[in-house]
Amino acid sequence: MGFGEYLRELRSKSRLTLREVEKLTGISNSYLSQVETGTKKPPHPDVLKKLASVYGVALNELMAKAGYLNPNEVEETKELLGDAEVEWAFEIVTNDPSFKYGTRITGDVDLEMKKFIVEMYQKATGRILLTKQ
Amino acid sequence: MNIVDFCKHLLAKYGNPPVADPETIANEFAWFFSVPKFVTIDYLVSLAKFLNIDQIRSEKLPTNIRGFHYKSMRRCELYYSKDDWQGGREHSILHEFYELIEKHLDELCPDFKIRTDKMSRGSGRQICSNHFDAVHTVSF
Repeated sequence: MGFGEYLRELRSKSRLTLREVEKLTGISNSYLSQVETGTKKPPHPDVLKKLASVYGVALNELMAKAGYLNPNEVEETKELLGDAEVEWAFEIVTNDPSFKYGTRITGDVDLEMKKFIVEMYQKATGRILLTKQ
Repeated sequence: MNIVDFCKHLLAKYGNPPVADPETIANEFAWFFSVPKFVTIDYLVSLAKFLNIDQIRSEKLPTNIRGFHYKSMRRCELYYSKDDWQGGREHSILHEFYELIEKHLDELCPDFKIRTDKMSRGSGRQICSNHFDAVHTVSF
């Protein structure tokens, strides 16, 4: 499956139209359509980052599909991206209006706490954000 | 009789938006749900179903988290730390109850604002929750 088809399948699973994705990410629907049909080459990683958050997939997976990383590199970057991925996923969770949470905390909001909240989000919504479980 | 009924009761009695503070809400909560003078974890767990909580249980939680709840389109779950002492667990459950009440008030009343005097809603939520659970566990 080509990158365009893969991207279209992700959008279809998310039940979003091109215009809805445009609204959520700011990426032009006509440009996205051209990427999906293979007329345009895979977008820049910055664009992929926006799409990853909307489609609920890990950025490095999307990067690998787009040809920026090979499968071995995906494994290698999982460890390196671990902390950044948790921060990225936590931001998605806090910006999702359909998921509300509350905590009784002692101390600061640390990475362990953010990861726990993201894992709860994954359990509640079925959206997988973290590649390293 | 559930959390929505309770929030409607608050809005009817204290106005829309309500001008009740966390302590008042705690006392209303005790009256509305007939909360006994000394709450127990078993009692709080049994009360959870009236708050539209699908699941409540003790879990191994991250070091800094004593209680946690989430409310999604499909479910509402509440966890409290199994490593905490009994009073701490009771506080955590009540703390999360309060946060859920705030969320329901928020949904029912767009102009909702708890009367917190010096406390803003964002930074003050933890403090409000602490006031709420302290009423049940300390000053009854």
